Amino acid sequence: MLKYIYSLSILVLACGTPGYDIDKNAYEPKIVIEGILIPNESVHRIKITRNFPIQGTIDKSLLAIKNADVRIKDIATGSTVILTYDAGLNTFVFYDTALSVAFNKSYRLEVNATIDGTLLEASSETTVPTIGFKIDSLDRTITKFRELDANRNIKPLDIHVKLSPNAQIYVVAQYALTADTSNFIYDNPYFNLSRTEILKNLSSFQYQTWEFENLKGSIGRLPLQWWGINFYSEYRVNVYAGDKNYKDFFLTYESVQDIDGTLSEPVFHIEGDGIGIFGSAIVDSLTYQVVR
Amino acid sequence: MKYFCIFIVVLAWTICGQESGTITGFLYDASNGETLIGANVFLQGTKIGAVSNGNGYYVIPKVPTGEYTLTAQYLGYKTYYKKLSVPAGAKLQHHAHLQVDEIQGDEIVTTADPDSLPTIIRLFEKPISRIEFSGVEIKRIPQVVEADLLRSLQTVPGIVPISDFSSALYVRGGTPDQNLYLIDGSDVYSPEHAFGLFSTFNTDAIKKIELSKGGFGANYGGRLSSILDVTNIDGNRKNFEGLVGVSLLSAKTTLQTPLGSNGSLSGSFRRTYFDKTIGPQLKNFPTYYFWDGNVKAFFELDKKNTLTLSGYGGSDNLNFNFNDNSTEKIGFSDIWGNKTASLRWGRVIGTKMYSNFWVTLSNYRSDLAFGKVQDGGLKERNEIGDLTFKGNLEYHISKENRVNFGFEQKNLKGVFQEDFPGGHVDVQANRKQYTLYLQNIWLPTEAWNIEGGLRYDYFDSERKFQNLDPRVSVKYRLNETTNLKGAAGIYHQYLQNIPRPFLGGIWTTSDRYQKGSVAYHYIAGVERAINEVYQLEIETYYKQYRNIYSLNPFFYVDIQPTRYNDLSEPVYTTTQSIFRRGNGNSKGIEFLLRKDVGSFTGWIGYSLAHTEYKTAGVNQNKSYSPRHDRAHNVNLVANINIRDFIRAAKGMDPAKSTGKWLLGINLVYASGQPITEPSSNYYIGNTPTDTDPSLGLFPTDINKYHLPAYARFDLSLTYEKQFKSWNLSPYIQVFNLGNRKNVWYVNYTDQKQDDNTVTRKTKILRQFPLLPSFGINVKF
Repeated sequence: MLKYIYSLSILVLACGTPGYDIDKNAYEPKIVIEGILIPNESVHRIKITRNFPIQGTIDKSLLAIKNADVRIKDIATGSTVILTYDAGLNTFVFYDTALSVAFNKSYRLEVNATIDGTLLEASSETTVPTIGFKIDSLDRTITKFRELDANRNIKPLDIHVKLSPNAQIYVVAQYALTADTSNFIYDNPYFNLSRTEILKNLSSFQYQTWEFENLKGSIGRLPLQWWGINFYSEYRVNVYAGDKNYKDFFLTYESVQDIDGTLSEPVFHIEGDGIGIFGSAIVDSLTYQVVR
Repeated sequence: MKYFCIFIVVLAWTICGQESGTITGFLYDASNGETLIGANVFLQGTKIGAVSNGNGYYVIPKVPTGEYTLTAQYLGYKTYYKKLSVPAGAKLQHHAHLQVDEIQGDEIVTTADPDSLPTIIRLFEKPISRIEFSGVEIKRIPQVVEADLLRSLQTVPGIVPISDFSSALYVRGGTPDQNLYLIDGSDVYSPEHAFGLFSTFNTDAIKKIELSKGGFGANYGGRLSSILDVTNIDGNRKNFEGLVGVSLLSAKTTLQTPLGSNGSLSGSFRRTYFDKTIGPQLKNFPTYYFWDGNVKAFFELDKKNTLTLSGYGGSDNLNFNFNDNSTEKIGFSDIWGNKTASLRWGRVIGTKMYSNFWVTLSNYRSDLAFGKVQDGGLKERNEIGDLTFKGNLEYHISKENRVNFGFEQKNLKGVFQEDFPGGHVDVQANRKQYTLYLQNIWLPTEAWNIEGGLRYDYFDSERKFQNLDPRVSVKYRLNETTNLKGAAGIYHQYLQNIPRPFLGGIWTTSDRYQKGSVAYHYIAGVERAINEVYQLEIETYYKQYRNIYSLNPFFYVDIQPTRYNDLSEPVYTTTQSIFRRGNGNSKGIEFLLRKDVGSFTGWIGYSLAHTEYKTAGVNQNKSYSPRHDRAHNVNLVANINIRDFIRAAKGMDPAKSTGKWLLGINLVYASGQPITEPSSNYYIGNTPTDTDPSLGLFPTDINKYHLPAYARFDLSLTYEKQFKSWNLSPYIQVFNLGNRKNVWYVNYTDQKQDDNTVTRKTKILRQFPLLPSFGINVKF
């Protein structure tokens, strides 16, 4: 009789729908840093926010740590400035000339903030890439979507740039100035989407980024990616020539979960209780238009 | 040197023997002339005997003069008897043709024979940590849609899968790249078809499967964890024979025919037809099919020489268009497959020596394209192959002493090329490996079986590696029902694999950046025969790893180009930064209770195991358990001849009938896999002007948590009907009969509520649900 009971209990085990709950106690507060220094610009893009537990609804407007102590130190001179919170930009800023972000110079960010009653500290250093990066030209400023040449091959659409000697990554960030379902390129080989699906993810179709690493020499070629062009629209393109911190962040922050579910630690160069990016980049921009 | 001296002393001592004779020969299946591997031959009333080797050849040396009854036994066959007289100095050659048990046919169940070699002796002769199966046994285990070798091996204690979607084997804590897969002597590098449903081994073509989970002898090497040695059928040497099968997913056939009076030819072919049937009805679904086939020709050139020519080829084809409605079609395509070939010359030298010489070829190639490179896509070629020359000689010095020695010369070629926007990968490796080994199997008394060996490797890469690996295993017959056993050894590996979910991994070799990996095996155990019906094996093991490699998921952060092409684009030609190096250990205890006789056969297995890695750059350099670590595993596999089972319960003999119902059961219970949970969310943009910030995940300690337990119950029912000259076997199979929704992993998505609020959604991804299937096999 006992063996039948054992057999039955094993069979029962092989049924059902096991659940899985995320451990609520796994949460650890962290200071989230989003800051990229741009040479010849004032410091006004340092966003300090907090992380939040996995479960529940998040109100983005409540994430900023407005009372954080944020300082930037010029490593060469040793001078340190204290940044203040700008409610309009939702970032920490320093407009005074006492801090001027310059090419090839190193800066250290130090943040102290209290989250959930715990005092946290985070710091990071960046070295601004050397002067040199600049957009030279674009193959054409008005193009058809996947425009063909006389041999019916797709014509390249390349940004030609002058390179910075020590930039580690070139990030192309493209923004469609007009984006809705009426000018979406439906006849494209990459996506088969309904209007509802487009509307649901409109901002992600509108803003696209891709990157190039390990470029060499004084000039480079950064092809625009057709999969990133989703609207008949004018586009604004910013190209960032970033440092090592920016490269490691950009290449890893979104690749935390593999397609088999495995999670890996992203590469952030932040010490202490911080996550995110404190880096530097040279920026240049252009516009072009995709017509029907 | 010390081992060599011991070997010479033992050799000299044993050669100076008494007046005696030698009995040698081949063991055959009387119905088709197929040689029988691993069959027992012994002289009745004595404890003198042998086991047939991979060619079906046996040697009983130093038989004292006298009259004997030679007895040969093999599972599923009638015991063979032959009276022989052994005069002094005789060199008797006797080939035994064993009749298939008429009651059971090729059924694996058989009745215990009173003249049988005691089970404990069969266990005593079996190497440590080795599991042996016939193709028929594998086919009886219910699986997804149809029988599969690798999935069936996942039911053996000490072997676990990573998920339902993979047939890869994780043996005693090792990763799949640490397993050596051999098919008729050729290496097989990536033995999986897509989605893990099928492996490249067609079960209809298999004659014998030997799986060593650890502690294997010096004749095997090149991998840290296990050896899976598959021998395909040579072919029917007496009659034309065929098997045709269709299932929901594939059609297959295996044909065998004699070649003249001294040879045979066998061939198998199968193809999936999902792409022709259900696939076209599904929208936005990839087109996928595979085919594979084996051919094997066997020639008995004369009484002393055999020649075997074997080939395997297969191809998986996967295509997917991103948008079927667009004017221009762009998509994903991957074509991959293995090709192997081997030529084996078996030769009897004198009476006491058997030699095998192989020339083998193996190649795995994958050609993958994702869109067009100029559009931001990629194009990739991934190839690994070898040309190998190897030989093995086994010398039966005496009935107490046997020596194996051999060599292997492997010429490896690996290519990985990838074109992506703004860069190229071009890694090419041509390596040579030279191996020598020596093994001595010594039975100083009837109670002891001592095997010692040495394996020397020289791996010629950009950096030279050479290693001398000692191996030893000992068995001791404690009493009439119990053996004790132990083994230890050092194992080296010079290949690493970059695993990729759902795609073939990329093989690389040890070079200036990656050292050779090493594992130390320590195994102890006990085996016991219970009432001549059950075999109980308990083994405990401890395995240490040094320099094991895992893919650095962010290798592209640190990788540096070695050169630039004419367009000033970076070209990467080395494996620098690809891997993270670490150490680790696995330990565990396994219980296997197996029953091979009667109308109810099968096994119950349980393993308690733990694996721990410590890898630079992972988990803040702290120890962690890999995802394949499972503490508890229980497997129950049962094959039941229903009518005979009922008759046996009533105390009746097995029925003589032309039809039978066969029930297959496979029950799996495993504790949950380790999993990494995210500790928190955060918002971040990737440029200063990012208008669409991402909701990022930040992980906790790696694999700190565990998924719920995995459980599954599979069932198959087959009706076998024997007609005059042919046999019909319709079957139904149900995978995961309880439709348990086992957890695969947790996925994280976000759902915008409005411009400011978002909810993080966790979605549990499940493994295979209940999957019924049916098919039919016709044998003629």
